[in-house]
Amino acid sequence: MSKKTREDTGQQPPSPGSDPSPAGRDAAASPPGLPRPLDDSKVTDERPPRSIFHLGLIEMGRIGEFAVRVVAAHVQTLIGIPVDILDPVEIPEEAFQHHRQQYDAGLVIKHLNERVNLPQSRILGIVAADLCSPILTYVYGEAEIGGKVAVVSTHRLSQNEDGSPTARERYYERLAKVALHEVAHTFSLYHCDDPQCLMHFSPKVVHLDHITLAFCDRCEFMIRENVLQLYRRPPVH
Amino acid sequence: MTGRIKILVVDDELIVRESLIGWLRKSGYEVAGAEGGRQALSILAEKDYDLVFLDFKMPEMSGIEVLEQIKANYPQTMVVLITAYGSIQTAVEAMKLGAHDYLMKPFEPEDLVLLVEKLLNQKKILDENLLLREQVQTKIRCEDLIGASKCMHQLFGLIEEVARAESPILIRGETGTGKELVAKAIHSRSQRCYGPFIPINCGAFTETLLEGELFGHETGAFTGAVRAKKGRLEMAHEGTLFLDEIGEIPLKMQVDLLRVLEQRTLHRIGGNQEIPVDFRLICATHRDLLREIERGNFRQDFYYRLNVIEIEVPPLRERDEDVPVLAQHFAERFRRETNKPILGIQQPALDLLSSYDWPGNVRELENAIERAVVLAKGRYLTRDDFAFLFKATPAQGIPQSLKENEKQHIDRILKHCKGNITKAANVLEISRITLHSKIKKYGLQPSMK
Repeated sequence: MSKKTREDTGQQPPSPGSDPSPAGRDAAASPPGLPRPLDDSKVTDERPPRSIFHLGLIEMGRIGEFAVRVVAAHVQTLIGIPVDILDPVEIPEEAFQHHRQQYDAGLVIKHLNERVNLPQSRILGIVAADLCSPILTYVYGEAEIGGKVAVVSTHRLSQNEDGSPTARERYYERLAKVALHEVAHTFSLYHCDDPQCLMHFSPKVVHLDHITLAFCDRCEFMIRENVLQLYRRPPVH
Repeated sequence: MTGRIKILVVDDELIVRESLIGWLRKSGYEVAGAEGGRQALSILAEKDYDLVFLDFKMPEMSGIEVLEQIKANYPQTMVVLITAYGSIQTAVEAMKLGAHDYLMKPFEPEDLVLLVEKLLNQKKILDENLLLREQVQTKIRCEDLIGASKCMHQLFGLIEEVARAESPILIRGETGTGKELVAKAIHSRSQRCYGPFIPINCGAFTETLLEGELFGHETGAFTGAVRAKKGRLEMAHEGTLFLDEIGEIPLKMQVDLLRVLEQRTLHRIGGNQEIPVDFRLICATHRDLLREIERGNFRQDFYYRLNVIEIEVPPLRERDEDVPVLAQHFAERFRRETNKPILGIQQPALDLLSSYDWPGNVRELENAIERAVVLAKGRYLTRDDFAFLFKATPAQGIPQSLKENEKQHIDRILKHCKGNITKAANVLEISRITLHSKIKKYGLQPSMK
């Protein structure tokens, strides 16, 4: 699977006003306050490749480029890890649960873990299909605590509780919140009691709308510490 | 509910079990899983869990069977039955047997989060209730610490003063003077009153048992330690630890306790984990500890660590003006407990009680009043109701001569031996001839019954 950055694909940066997200910045830049990842040009045999410090973002199904870039920008800014936007893949059919007409989020994660060999230390899959788990009727996302892979679904985010369509801005905000929440789980963050924090569990979209697009002080500290750990002890592939 | 909330997930389907465990772990709970009823019960036998998610349909033991066992052995643990084959009947049956709630697989995310929050809040309230009940009982028992004498007023003042401090206290006093009541009164007036009051009588255990009782043990620490157990020191965390009869503690354990007091941490027997403890220490003894130090039975460094503040509880014979007040108080208490129509104690009876020495102090007085109330025929307790005090120990009644004493003693032994002269002579360690001559001299009648 190849790495697709804006430069690689020859995309032009969006003009001011047409792209409200901060994704216009170099997606692989080092966030402020963190050690800059190794430059590929300076990589020696002993040093791990630069992408090992990155998060790989994979579109699974039709999500839309803008939505993917919104997620990339938010993860990079709030989690503090550079993001590589990777080539889209199909959602694995073995994850489909016929009796529920949904995809099992755990099996999608398993697929990304076992079948897709990626150098990035974290992988976030964005799927358009409806996700569920063996115990929950649906999930907006799923991740392994302290693991490599997280997955989020856009399926239930574009509608309100009453079934009315959601404004695009609200939809992107919800998607960013779910993505940040799940990625933070891969950095060993648990659910938070602070009802405003991104790590507060949101069973419904109304709860998602209630939380802010920020971590509480405690979760913010934890995420910074755990991302720094990634640079101190890079994963071995 | 102390420390991290512990949840056990019991389901034979691995994927369901792992999924629920994963979700609960993300919420920060300590979670364990069991694939069947037997495994669940053995896990519960080793550790206390706050909440159990229990599958209804399992191959070896049904959820209902496991639920019955949990309710019988771990009544504080809350249980939620989960099933994919739900019906109203099974729900009703489960709730009747004590399940706290019921969920059908798969759950709505909001249902699961609300249920867990609701049950854990209930658990917290139940735990608080238990603690409050214990505290109320502590306060009720403190009512028994009463007295109108000058020395008791001084004692009350001292209790108020020292309660606010955190320093260790050594309470000295004869057996039955109410040393534990003084300790409870100090605890209930201290800043730690919302924490536990943990008493232990150090004289009531052998050395090995006392060590286990104080420090607790881990599973497998010794034969029979099938389950990890908290010690009293750990249980007293954020409260008060009352070590009664501290003079009976073996020297080795004095060192162990001294180390806990210095370092504020302990290790359970067979455990490596350092457990922080924060308690106020109150000790009591009827012994003269300075003399015990001279004899080499008590460590001097331990004594000075315990004896920062010393409180002396006076014996009842030194405050005989308190006897009527205490007697009326106990009479009222036992009247309520036994539901007998006792209106009070007559003045001559009170005078009689005040003239008695009370070698067993307040405890003896309490027992005497209880006996009198239970056996009383009239509406008031009279002198006759307390005659047993003097009959049981005639030497403490009217002073008598050596001759009279000898006569009564021989008579008692003869009765005890049912008139058997040989046996009585053996008990008295005199010859049969001497016994016969004394029987004749005192005009005694050896009973043959």
